Amino acid sequence: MNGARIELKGAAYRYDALVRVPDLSLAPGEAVACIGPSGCGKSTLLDLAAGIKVAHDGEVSYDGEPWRALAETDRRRRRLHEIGFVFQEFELLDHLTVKENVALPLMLQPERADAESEPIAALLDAAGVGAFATRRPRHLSHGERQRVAICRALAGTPRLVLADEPTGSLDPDTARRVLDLLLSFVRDRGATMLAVTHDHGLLDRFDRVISFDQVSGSGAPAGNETAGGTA
Amino acid sequence: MKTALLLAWRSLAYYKVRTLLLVGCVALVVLLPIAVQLLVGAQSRALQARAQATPLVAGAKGSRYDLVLNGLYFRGRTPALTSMAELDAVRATGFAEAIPILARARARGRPLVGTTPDYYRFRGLRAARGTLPLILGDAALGADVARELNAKVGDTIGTDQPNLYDLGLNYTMNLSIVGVFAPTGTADDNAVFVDLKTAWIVDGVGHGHDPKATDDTVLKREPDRIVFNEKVRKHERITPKNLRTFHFHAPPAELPLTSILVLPHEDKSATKLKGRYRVSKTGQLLVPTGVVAEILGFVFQVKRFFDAHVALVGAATALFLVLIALLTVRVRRREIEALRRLGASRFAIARIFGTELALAVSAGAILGALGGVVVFLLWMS
Ligand SMILES: Nc1ncnc2c1ncn2[C@@H]1O[C@H](COP(=O)(O)OP(=O)(O)OP(=O)(O)O)[C@@H](O)[C@H]1O
Ligand SMILES: [Mg+2]
Repeated sequence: MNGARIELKGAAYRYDALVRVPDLSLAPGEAVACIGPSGCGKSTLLDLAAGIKVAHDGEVSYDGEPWRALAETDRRRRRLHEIGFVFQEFELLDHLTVKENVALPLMLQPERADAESEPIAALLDAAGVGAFATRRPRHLSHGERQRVAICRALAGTPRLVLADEPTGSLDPDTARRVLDLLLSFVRDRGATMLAVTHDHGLLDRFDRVISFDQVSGSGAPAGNETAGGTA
Repeated sequence: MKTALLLAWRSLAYYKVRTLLLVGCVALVVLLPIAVQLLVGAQSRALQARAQATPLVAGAKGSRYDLVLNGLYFRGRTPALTSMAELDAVRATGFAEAIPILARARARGRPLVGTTPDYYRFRGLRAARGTLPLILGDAALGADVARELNAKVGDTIGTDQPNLYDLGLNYTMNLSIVGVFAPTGTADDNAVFVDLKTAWIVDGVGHGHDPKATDDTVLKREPDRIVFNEKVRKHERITPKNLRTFHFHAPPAELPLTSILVLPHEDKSATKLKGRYRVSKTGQLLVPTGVVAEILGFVFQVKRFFDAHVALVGAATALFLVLIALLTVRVRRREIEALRRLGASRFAIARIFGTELALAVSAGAILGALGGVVVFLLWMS
């Protein structure tokens, strides 16, 4: 399995104001960190890369194909089958056990709904939350929940991993261990990874770091605001 | 589908209060119509069966319904009274057998039915324990009455005082229970049977007291009768010793009956009897199946209104469920958004939530149906 190729060029997304994100090109198998101050648009960048949001301006492409050119169903299917996402707010379902939460992306794919549960158990063990497999997310600490969210992103063996502050709630030791888990998973499988982080001590683990500071004033072309909207 | 089921089930099990409210609401809506449907069905079948088993019923002119309800089921208002003379008249035609019924008083809340052994033979009533009530002061209980009162042979059963302000008319009598009938699944199970004479005494047509006339007990002496004061206690229980003191003040032909079961010897005699009654000024002869069909007609007419009401409540509930589904989308936006972000299709999400609603509604419907059956069974027992 080879990693996905991601390209962003002059991309911007309009909430109330237009949020511009830096130009970016991720080669298959690359692991890139993204840093920048709060509110600069890092989460927006990940949503654009995943096709959750479609740029109002500029172009975001996945494997050379612009998200904009794909139908909503195809964007969704690709996300479900090929992308693992660690959301900033985790988005775990309270009524499912930890294990079911992790298996959810697989359960939503009819052809993989009956997948073996061993890889998931192994994943939970590796993240240090194997003992909580049958608990509800509510009964976990913030850091434990974060690790569950990471396991869910990896459960479907994705070609692209997008992680929004995946170590934000962890102590330095655990953060390092969990990031190693993420990176070793990605590298073993040749997957591509883009991770937002505030943890400057961990940046040396990545192949490359891009900073939002570079984008300020970079003046991406405006005016081409044809398609857009949330996926 | 498996995924939708699992997610739906997990959500229902986790948000218990929400689930219980939904299931309970549907169950309550379903329960009553089912219970009523079963009850109306069972009762109407029982009514019809009894009517089919009773060829004709005769009585005084008056309400058809009162006469049939009294003669067959010992229920409803007491019909206009007929008399032994009417019974004799039917028998005298030679067309039919006639069985007298006096069902006016009550004992422990159950109808007290005075009749003759012919009745027990005709209805196939068999004493499961003890004997038939052939002697003055004896009573035999229907199966349900014996069970509900936990009464056995050798106990006594008191008659009810129907009019507290008219103690002279009739008074509480204690009857000896000499038998308990085997259950029949008919109105007979819920009645107390006595000999016709006993029924007359309970009704106040006859009584027994010490015949001693002393200065102490006589209120006034008239040429043809002696009036006693209240010191002459009427006997409240008929015993072999005081049996002889009971007597009737009315001539035998005038002794009252509430209805007469008429069993024609053949079809032709039934037709002839009907012809006679058509010109009668005092009596009427009814075919119970016809009258019961009329009564059921009313019942089903009322039931149609009830059914319409049920349909409206059902429609309102369905609308509420739609409302719940719409509100769910708002209340559970976060959950839906998470599924969307993971890549679930609109259809997959709708199926998860639809399954959840369907499971809750089916559980409610099944519970409601079971509840309806339980209510029905409790009512019938
Ligand atoms: N739903 C929204 N509606 C309006 N504005 C929004 C919305 N989401 C984000 N924004 C705005 O877009 C900008 C970028 O938001 P984004 O969440 O991408 O920032 P971020 O870099 O991830 O911040 P943080 O580091 O705090 O997570 C912010 O100014 C934010 O206020
Ligand atoms: Mg963010």
